[in-house]
Amino acid sequence: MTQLATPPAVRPATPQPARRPRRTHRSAYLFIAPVGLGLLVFYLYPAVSTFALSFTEWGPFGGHTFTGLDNYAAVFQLETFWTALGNTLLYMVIGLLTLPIAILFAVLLNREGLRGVAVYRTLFFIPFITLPVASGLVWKWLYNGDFGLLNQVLQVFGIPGTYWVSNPDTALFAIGVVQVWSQVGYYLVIFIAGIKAVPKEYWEAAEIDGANAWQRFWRITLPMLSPTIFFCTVINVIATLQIFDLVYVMSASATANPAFSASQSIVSLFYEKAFVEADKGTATALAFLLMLLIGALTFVQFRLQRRWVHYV
Amino acid sequence: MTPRPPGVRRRTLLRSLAAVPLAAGVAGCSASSGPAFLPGGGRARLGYGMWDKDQVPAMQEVIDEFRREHPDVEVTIQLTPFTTYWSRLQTAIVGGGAPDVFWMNAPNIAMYARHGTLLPLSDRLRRDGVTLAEHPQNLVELYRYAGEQFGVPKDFDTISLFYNRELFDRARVPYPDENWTWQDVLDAAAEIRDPASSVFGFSAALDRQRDLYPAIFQNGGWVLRDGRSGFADEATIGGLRHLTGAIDRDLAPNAMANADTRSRELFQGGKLAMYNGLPNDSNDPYADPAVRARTGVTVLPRGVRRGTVIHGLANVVNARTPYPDAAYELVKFMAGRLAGEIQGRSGTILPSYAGTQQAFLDAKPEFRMQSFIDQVPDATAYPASVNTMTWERMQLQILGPSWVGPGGRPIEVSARLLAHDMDVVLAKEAAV
Repeated sequence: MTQLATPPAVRPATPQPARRPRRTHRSAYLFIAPVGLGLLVFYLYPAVSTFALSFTEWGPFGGHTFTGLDNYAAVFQLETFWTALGNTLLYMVIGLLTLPIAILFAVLLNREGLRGVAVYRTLFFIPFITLPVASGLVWKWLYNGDFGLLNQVLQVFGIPGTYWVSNPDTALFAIGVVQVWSQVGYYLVIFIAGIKAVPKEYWEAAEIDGANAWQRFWRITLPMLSPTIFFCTVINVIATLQIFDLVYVMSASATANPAFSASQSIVSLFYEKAFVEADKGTATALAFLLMLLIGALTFVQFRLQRRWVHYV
Repeated sequence: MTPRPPGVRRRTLLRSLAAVPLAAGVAGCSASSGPAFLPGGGRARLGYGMWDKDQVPAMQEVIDEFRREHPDVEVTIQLTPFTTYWSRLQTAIVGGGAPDVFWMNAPNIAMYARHGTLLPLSDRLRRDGVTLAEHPQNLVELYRYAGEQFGVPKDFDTISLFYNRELFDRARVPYPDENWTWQDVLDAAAEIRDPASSVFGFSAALDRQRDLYPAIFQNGGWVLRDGRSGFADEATIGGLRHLTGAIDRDLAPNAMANADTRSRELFQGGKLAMYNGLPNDSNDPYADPAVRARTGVTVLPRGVRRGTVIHGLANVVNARTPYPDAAYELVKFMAGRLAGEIQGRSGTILPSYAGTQQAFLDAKPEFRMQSFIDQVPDATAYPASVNTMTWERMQLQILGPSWVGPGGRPIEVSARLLAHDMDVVLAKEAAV
């Protein structure tokens, strides 16, 4: 192993330099093997077989019959699919609010002379590293209509509360808020790094020219940060389109939640189909459609970025 | 009970193994060669799959007793929480790692039996003269599919009315008894309801087994008959309206409140005067001395007629077990008197073997647990078909909008929508 990893420079120069990259490649493959094999076995192979199986009727205990596009037709006829699609897109829109919030806090945390920055950063980051199931459960208690802390606080101000995660009108937004809360820390750290990478001279020059704080933020920080924002947007959209655990824990685990349909995401519909109803054919088609949707939205973002992202 | 066979060879094992997929052939084959679960004098190792951790001590005791008779059979309990039990079992059956004997319930039996994943038991039971007559008849029939017995009942449950004596006393309302009707419940609930202390009279939760089915059956309605949904029937809708009507009158918490805090938690916390409970719903009230002292149990009130739903778990044998005979012996043992008595004594579950329930009643003398047994003659079997899980989920999703109180979707609209969608599922499973 160590032999393979030896840098080529310490070896006597080989007459044919063309071969050297190939040797290097070989050891490189070895190094990426752990991750590569994992990806192959746990991502690529399931993805490809999901695609193949989405054209079959899949018995609850195995046994596949080719049924062409039947599963896809079945998905499009499902009323719950369209509801879940609408819900998922709404989750995405709410999820995107994470970014302006994260930028705001990143700017605040980057101010000169602010004490205890590390503490703040940690506090913001904790929700992100907390298991979604754990934070979902705690938030469910906070949201409890009869005994929840949120309603008790609202009561002090005379605002009537509701059954936040069980009321069909509020459940999706209540879950969306938790999604934003849990993700802010992650993007915050990325944005802080992004802002630190902006050369100080730009701000200094602008200040000398008489630009105020708002103008410096709007004309310098934001454009300089745009590649970071673009990266975060792509990652965020991909993540929120796959929202599942929070929905599952907060509104779907109570078996008779009237807000179940109103808050169901595509992945939780997939879970229902695959593991509760044992209808894996429809479920695989659903999973593949979600992949197409994510691919399409990512593609669109890459096309649009040319208009607003500034690379220095 | 069966003596150790002296000359059983490895071939017998191979033969019984080979016979496993040929469902009907198994019993005949092993019957001719005697008990074959000790091929070559080796040990049979069985896994026993279950989901309720409260019942582990009792089941372990049953297994210990079984091993007294069959010291050459090892049985290991494999506990999986209910929330993941079915998805894991399905995967394990496909992959070949499922337990040899495992718990089965009514919603799932037909699907597992139809796909040949369970060992048929009829021939063996007949050979051993086991009639299962000691278990409630409609419960035994729940585990029959296409004329073949696939499961042997171990326990059963009906629904009884739990009530909070303190709340009744405070409102000066007499306690419910076997003469109560729906009207009595509504009247009492109206007296007891106290918005200021958020006390509710009774629970009309969107809970299939505890509330929906009993109300439907008490009104002469039905859920499933000859492959058709009963939710469009006027009697069925009338039963459901009893529940939604109470919610609309603010006598019972609506589904939003119930989703946040379940009825049994409200009852435990003293915020609910009456609620429908299963036998093991008595465990929590019994465990807390204060709650125990104020809790009463009686039969369900009558609507047009008396009615409740009867369900029970069965032990089934994995069709792919390498030890079909040992597994069958275990299942048979668990359907016997001794297993019933052990389960009853534990107080965690009501055994289905007639005459073994006394220990269960004695385990909680302050509660009138006899109510659960008294209602067996009035009970309707838990409705199930092949894709039960699919249309059961629909009930919650489609009926939900009628469970949110005044201004919700009228119950007859939701019920007819449900009947339509459920019929589509039923037609599809009949077409296979």
